[in-house]
Amino acid sequence: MATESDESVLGGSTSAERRRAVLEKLNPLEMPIRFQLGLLGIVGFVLLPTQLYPDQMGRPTNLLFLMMFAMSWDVVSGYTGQLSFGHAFFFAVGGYTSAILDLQHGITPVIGIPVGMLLAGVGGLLIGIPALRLRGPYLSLVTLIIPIILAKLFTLFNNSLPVLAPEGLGGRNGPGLPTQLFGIDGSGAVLELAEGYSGIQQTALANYYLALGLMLLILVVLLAVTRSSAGDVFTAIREDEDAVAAAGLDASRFKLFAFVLSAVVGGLAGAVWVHTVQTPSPLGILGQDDIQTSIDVIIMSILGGTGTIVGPIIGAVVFALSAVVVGGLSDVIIPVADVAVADLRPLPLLAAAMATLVFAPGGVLRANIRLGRRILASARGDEYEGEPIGGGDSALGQIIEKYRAELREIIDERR
Amino acid sequence: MADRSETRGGGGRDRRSFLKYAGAGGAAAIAAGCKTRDRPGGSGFTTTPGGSGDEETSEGTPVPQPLEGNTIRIGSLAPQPDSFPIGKSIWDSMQMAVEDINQNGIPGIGGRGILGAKLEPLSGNTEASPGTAREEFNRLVQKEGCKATFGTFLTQCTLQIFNPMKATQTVHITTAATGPKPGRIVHERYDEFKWHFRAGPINSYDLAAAELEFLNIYADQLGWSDAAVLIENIAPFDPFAETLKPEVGNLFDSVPVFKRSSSGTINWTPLWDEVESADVDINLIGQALTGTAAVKQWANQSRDFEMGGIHVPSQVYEFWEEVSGACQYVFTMNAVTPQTENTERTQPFMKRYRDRFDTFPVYSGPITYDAVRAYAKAMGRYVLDNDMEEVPTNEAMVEALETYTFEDGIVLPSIQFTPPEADFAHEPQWTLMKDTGVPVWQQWQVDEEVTDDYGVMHSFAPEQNKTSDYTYPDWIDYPSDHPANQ
Repeated sequence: MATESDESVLGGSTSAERRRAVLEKLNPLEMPIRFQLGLLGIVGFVLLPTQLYPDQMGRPTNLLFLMMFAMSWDVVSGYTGQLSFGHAFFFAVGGYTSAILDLQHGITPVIGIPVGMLLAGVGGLLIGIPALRLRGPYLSLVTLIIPIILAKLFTLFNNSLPVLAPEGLGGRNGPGLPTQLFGIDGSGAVLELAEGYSGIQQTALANYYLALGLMLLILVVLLAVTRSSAGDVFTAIREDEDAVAAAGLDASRFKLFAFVLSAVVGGLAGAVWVHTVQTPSPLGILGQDDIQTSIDVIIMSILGGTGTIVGPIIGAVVFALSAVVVGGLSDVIIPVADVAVADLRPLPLLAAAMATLVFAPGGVLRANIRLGRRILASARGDEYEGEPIGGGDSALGQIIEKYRAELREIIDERR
Repeated sequence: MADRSETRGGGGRDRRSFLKYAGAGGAAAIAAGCKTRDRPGGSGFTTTPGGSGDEETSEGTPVPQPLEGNTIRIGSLAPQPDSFPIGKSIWDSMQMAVEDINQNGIPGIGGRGILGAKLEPLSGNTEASPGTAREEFNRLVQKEGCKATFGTFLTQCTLQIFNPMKATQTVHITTAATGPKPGRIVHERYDEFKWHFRAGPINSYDLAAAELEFLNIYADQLGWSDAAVLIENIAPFDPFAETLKPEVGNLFDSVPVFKRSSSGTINWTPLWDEVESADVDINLIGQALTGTAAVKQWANQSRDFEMGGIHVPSQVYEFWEEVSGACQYVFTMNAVTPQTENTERTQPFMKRYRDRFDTFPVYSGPITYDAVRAYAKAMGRYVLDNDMEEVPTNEAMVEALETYTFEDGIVLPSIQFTPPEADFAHEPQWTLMKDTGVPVWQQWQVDEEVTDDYGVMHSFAPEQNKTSDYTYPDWIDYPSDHPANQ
């Protein structure tokens, strides 16, 4: 007879019971509404291509990569509170490594992508180690500068970087056009598909579903890590690093782990990106002024909700939708300024991010979960007793508070 | 046991059902794929049976019209085609070229359209972003059915459409970006990327060669013996700076300053102090993003040196108004100016453009106008030479563009693309400034014979495109034997 202590957390003493419990948890009809909505979102992503033409598939495919980048940022900045302002550095290391291995060393992307991922991990280690000695504002400054230094290196070693990139890093125009993972018949891609228009359709689909599969894989891995005891330590570091140390845990090791994990994820996504829908160049990967992609990723996470992993995905969708909606308002003129709304991009999005910071620092995800709970409570005739919809103790609030505290310490030391 | 077996059985069924439905859903989605365009294949034109009607030219010579009944769509890939001067010039000039061809036929052949085929222009806005350029290229080719595209300003944007170009086998003719990489890639991977051509401007290595040639001929004549070089630190200027650096010292007594200035420079006073204290005659610049502040501060501070080189803002007609005339005396290389007569067709084009759009185009406009007409003429000649009655395939268009020389240009008298074996393939053939007449050296001047209330974009070099002498800043005190006082 099984005792209570023998029973697994899933509620069963035998493997059959545990299996049954798992299946019950996986049963969509038994899930909480927020999980059902999440599943519906995934089904939506799976079915999205059926509503699009191949020439319209580029934006959603890019969006999936942005989601991966935002998740990679969230695991280090959203969870541990170590604010990184230059996360695109990792995407670029992954992307450039794989592209240069392909173009200048003849190494197939099938090998180049994992190598790019690993090198990005090394990059995470190189930034993570000094990060252990730097407090919030200083770390943020370092991460802000790093992608700019990287962009300068691209120009400095434009024509040659001995051994590593004999033909150089390609300056502002990038090292060239790496082999595509998917392409039409005769295109020289790793996997050649049909010829003609069918090939174009299949290529668009293959790129999309590869990106979707990768995004879901990263989501599952990051959810598993952040919902494990390691994730609890990440959160504890954000909330009170001294308490973590007092509990006998080595916060430095966990911070380093978060940095490397984040870098590996970003590097993997960056490496696949350059072999599907992005050409490696500073403008393409790092964005405008070598910093725009890093900022976009932060905005997505803030919009969706930092410290949740799922939030950045929702933030990325909001980000993309707002770009489409605002971009479509080219005929709507603002009377006094005499400027089309579409020309104001990205101001409306930045305003939305500011509004989120002020009115719903937990992000769209948390605000909607709370709103849903209030509606359900109201439907049951109960009184909603949770945190206010927009406010409450959010991860972002904690990050900002941690940042403030570190700033205060620095100022006090100076005095 | 019974319970257990039931449980196992039930769990198995549940699992199988779950996997079955999940698998079926996924497979169905993938099998369904994405939607299919009516005009698949990126072949880029609506085809209706070709006719064989003939159209008479004004001289009464019958012009065969074997492509009658076809509509050929072409796309413009321009940054902000409604407002940004480089993008606006591309789109406006494409419309003018299409109207000319539809009304008067192919240059030198006549008729209407391309041997009867009507051209239809479509606009794409790249927003100077590589990702958007790719989106817009795919939209124009796959959705709108464009057979060819023209434009692209940044080389990163051009490169981003290389793979879609390859997949759809669509010809793209670059008319604004100067980076040499596309031409290099066409040379190295010809079979994959032979679809790319550039009608102009000449690439940045050639721009540097043109500047060296200009300095070699004119530096002494203009009284420049010592020079400073300040080139903005942005990608398009990289090959330019690389080429200039080892050579420019041979053309002057001294070059005490050779720097890449930051693309974020707002305060030019320290740099102008450095150049002035080096006691140079001429400050050679390469400026695109920082040019406005640089010119204002140079003029307002009455600096003791002349200034020019590649100054992108000065190529825009509205720049005079923007800086309230502070650009007077600044010179820049350009493809064409509102005053130059690169060919007999240049001024008529400029006047028509002015009448229609109430401004003058920047370099990307005339180059796009030439590119569209060169493309049309290559198609027409290919059809006639091969006695065809259908629109040539894109593969055939590559061959046509490689084969034929276009001799009705408004920037260059003739356009011939470099062959695949050239280091930079499918680029405009360019030898020397003094042979081809381009680039022209434009200087903002005051010329009341042309207009009494606005600056004039005169050209002082090369000789065949000269519209005025070089003028010297009136605040500099030159010695009596200086060319300024001759």
